[in-house]
Amino acid sequence: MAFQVIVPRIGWSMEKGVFSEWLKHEGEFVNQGDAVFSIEADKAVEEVLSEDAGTLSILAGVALPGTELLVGTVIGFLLEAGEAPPVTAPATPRPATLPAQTIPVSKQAPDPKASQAAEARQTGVVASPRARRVSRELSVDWRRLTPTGTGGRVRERDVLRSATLGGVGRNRGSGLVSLLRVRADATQLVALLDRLADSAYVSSVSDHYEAILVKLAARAYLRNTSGVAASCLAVGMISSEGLGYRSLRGAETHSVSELAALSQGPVGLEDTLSGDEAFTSLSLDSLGLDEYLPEYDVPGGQLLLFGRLARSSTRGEGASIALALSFQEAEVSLSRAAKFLEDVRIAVEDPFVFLA
Amino acid sequence: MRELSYIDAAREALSEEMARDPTIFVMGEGIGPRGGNFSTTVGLHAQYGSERLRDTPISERGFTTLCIGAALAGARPVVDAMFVDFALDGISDLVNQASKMRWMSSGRLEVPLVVRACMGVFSSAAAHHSGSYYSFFAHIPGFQVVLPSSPADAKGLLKTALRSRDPVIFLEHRALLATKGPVPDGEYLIPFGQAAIVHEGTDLTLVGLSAMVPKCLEVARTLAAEGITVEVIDPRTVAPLDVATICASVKKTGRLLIVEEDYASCSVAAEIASRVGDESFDDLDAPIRRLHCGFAPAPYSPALEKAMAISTQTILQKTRELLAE
Repeated sequence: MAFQVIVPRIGWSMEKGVFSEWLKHEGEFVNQGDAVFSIEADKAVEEVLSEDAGTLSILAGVALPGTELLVGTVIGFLLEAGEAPPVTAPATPRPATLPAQTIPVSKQAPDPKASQAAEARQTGVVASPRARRVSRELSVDWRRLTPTGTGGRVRERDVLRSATLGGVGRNRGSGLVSLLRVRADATQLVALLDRLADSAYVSSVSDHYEAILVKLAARAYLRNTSGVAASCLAVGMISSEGLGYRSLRGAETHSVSELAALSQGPVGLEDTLSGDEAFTSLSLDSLGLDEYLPEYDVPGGQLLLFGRLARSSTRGEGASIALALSFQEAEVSLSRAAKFLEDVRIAVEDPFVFLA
Repeated sequence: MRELSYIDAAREALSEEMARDPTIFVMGEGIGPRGGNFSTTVGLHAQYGSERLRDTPISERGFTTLCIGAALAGARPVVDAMFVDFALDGISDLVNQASKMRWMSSGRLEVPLVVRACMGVFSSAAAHHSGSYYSFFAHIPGFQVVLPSSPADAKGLLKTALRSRDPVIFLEHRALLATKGPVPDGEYLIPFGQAAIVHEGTDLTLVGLSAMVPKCLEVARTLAAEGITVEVIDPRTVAPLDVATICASVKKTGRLLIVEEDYASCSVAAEIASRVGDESFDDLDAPIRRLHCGFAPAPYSPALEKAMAISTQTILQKTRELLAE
């Protein structure tokens, strides 16, 4: 096996040296510890001792007396008996047959990773960790966004704006219907449901989930609209027959149990939403769906809220809820819809505090 | 609520604890009838006498080590080092004995010692009287390092220090000594390792240490007028360090600027930045930024000192820059 004869680093700061002379001839056998060549570095000529043994094969035209060579340059090989020198020399630093004031090595060979990162910044495909996280949560591809951060970094606000503007949109007759999605931790919500189910003081309605979601959403809505009454809202339901609604008035004043009782029973499919309803909570659990864009127009100003609860099969363990909001961009400002959904998320994650 | 100056609140804590615990005594230069160079013990000599307020010669290593011995023997000494720069004269026995004794004795020996001293760049006190040095102590296992920023905290934290079973380094910034603030009536203690959220906000988190806290508050108030809400956090103790409160804030804001009047290299701010980076990486919407004083001994020249120290204006500028990142 051939050993490389290279220009070594003699002293901490040496980047290159001036070749003085070969101390062995072509074809001469070199033992470990033999002086092979001498080189001038840091104003002193040093003899370089061989670390390996073999027959010297000098690489033609590289190490000539007076030539400046970079540290690491291959200038020859030590071969076994009968071995031919490698046909192509391995990649080496370019021999610097240049004046002494050439650019230092470190600048000639930039770190490829650093240049990639710089290129990524120039092409706008870097994102802050927070922006990446929010992108994952909102299913947004941050690589497509227009960055507003320093050096072309995508920031959280860029993702949020995109989620609000884009969403999953469909162009429809009377305007664009958009959908916003967010996933919330429902551990506290499930704990509350379990306590209601266990409590002897609450009427025997089987599941309060829908009623609590309506209640929390009504509270969030009130907070969001600073005082505008949420007295009109609807509870929707999708069955195999289609989509039906029940208007539910005074959600903010009814107790959870009262709401649960009110929303029981069949929903009239012939009922249509009126413009009175502030927002509608839709249950899609029976169909196993998280979200829905209605085929017919939602009355102006309507917000359709969906909340599908994924409970762990074991009681007392974690749960999550997929929240979605569809609305008409022409009627409801995008930022308001996003704020409402965020308030619902906060309420769902901490229902005890929010219902207090 | 009544208003007290920072130094008066701290002295009230010391006096209350000396009345409660007869094993507490103070050693230092000029802390007897003179009442301390920074009025740390004014009036206490008349109240508690020379046995418990022991004036010393200029011999920091001697009386620091003597106090370590007294603490090992069951007393609660307070080393009043005047300037933290002077406390460095006793650092060998603090580090090699006081901080390690609990471990070296398998828990049989305790060193309930308080070293209090003034620190910080202020009023042209120059290179030998302007050090901070708390990062030295925070680096060593066994020390609790306390940096109160308000009169109420100075009192509550000093009382906790005077009841601690392990050595406490209690550092008061000279720029704070005369500042006034509300101090609750009656007895209260502030636990170590519990940061204070001194101003709530959602746009950016400012962590300030010691005298930087009031400056950060000023910045928060300036920006609040523009509708930008900055959360200001005062860790209060840098050992133990309450990183959880900072991380919870960064979860809200996504932006963190740490301001301390100490050198940048190997600093507490570097430690905070590293730990927040570890624990809150996915919450960061911009790089963690730090603001430090210049990397040089504090100069005597008022103009140079001003250039080296951290002004409210600089914090405001760095905050704006980070908000724009």
